Amino acid sequence: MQEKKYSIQKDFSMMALMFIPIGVAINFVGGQLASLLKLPVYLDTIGTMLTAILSGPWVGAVTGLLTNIVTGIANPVNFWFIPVNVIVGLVVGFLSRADWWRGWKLILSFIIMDLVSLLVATPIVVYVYGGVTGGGTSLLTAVLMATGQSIWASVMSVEIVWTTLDRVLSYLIAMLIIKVIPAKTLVKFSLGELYIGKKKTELPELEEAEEIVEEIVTTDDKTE
Amino acid sequence: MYIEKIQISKENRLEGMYPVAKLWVVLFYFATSVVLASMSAPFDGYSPLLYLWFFGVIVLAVLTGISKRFFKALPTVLTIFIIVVIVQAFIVETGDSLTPGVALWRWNISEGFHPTIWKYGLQNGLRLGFNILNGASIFVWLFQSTKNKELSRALEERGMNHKVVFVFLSSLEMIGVLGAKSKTIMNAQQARGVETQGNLLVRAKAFFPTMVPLVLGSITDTEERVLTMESKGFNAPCEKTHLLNLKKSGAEKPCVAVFIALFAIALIGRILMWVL
Repeated sequence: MQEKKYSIQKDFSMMALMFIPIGVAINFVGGQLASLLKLPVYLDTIGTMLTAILSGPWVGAVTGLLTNIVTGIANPVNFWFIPVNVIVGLVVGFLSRADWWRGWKLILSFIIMDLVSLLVATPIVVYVYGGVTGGGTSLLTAVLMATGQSIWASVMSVEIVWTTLDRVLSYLIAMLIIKVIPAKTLVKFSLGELYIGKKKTELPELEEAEEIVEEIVTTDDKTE
Repeated sequence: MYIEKIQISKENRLEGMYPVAKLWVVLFYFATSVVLASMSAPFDGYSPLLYLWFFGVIVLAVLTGISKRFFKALPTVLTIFIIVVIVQAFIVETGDSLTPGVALWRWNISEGFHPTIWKYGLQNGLRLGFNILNGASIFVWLFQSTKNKELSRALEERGMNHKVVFVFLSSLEMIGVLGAKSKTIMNAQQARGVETQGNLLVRAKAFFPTMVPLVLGSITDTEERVLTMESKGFNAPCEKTHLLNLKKSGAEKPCVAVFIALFAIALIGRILMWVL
């Protein structure tokens, strides 16, 4: 068995480098679509997860960093949430290197990523915004605060529900996209090999192949 | 050999400032804002200097001649500011469980329902709100007065790797490109019968058929782009020729000096307040 050695050099291939802007734009479009369709989730980490799963933690982190810088130009609120997006990229990337996104370990990875997101985002919401960022979840947080809950409890309880939902959706979209990417493109990413579906690499057995050929031959005879 | 170079010429000297100088302005403006926010003792808990400092960025924007663009971009930030202040003022009674809350204004609608503006909440809200407003506005100023090209070129001149600069610039451009593409795809999918209006579930289902073609199309584009960039010598380890050159407008030193001076004054004032 070959020991897989991961290097930043390999991660930042030309393909990954050109893909980072796409990841950033997906995050941006995701956020825009979510508010256009009036969905109560952020959906601004789809691209980060995508690049992190395919090219590792550092590429994912860069995507996350750039996303919040660039979206922050339009809406400066996002600047303060740079750490959240960066950490999502790092965590998802490291878990991808450890091949924890396939099989049952999927659930563990998910919980880890969710918890880390929450731990990083909540202090920012509390210290910088006093609990209310103006996003879709702010109304719920405000209501909880009005009923006398402490600011930490309000923010955390609201975030647990909506951040988790957001990450589930983002993960599903990212994995759906990876499934549909052709194998010849996947191999150009440093971690892409892990996600090439089994069916694509299996060759049919010889008997099966003979059967298929026979079928084709006999069907042609009938039409003539 | 004559190389045709692109020049960006701006009439306003502040607008034409070298981008790195603008970054220094942003830094010192923000630092001053933080210092002023903490100067609340002599004003019974309020921080009026912080509120006045917001007008500093407005003055700057007007002097830079970008008032229209600047004020167009402000409403997003103002909305958040208002939300923060209102939530804090009506909900946060006091800073710790020992001091009783001081009510500034009470509206007696009924026995159980009497919205109150609390002093601590209002002060906290204004402080947080103005910090956010100041920080956000100065960035709005930066990005409204600087073209993406200029910022990227300045970063590159300062020594940033050209690949990093490319990724940064490309990300900014890609947003517009993908945004337009996504609208086209959404219309196309709507024509194919995907419902985009209706209840929450219907709308959520509309998200996937838009995202997936968008991303797949972009991935194909990316593969082509990799080939194109390599054929243009992107990876070649040699000196790159630059078509865009930045000139200093002469307003750099005075402008940055003003902001450093204001920061120094604020800092001295804060220290004096602490000592006396």
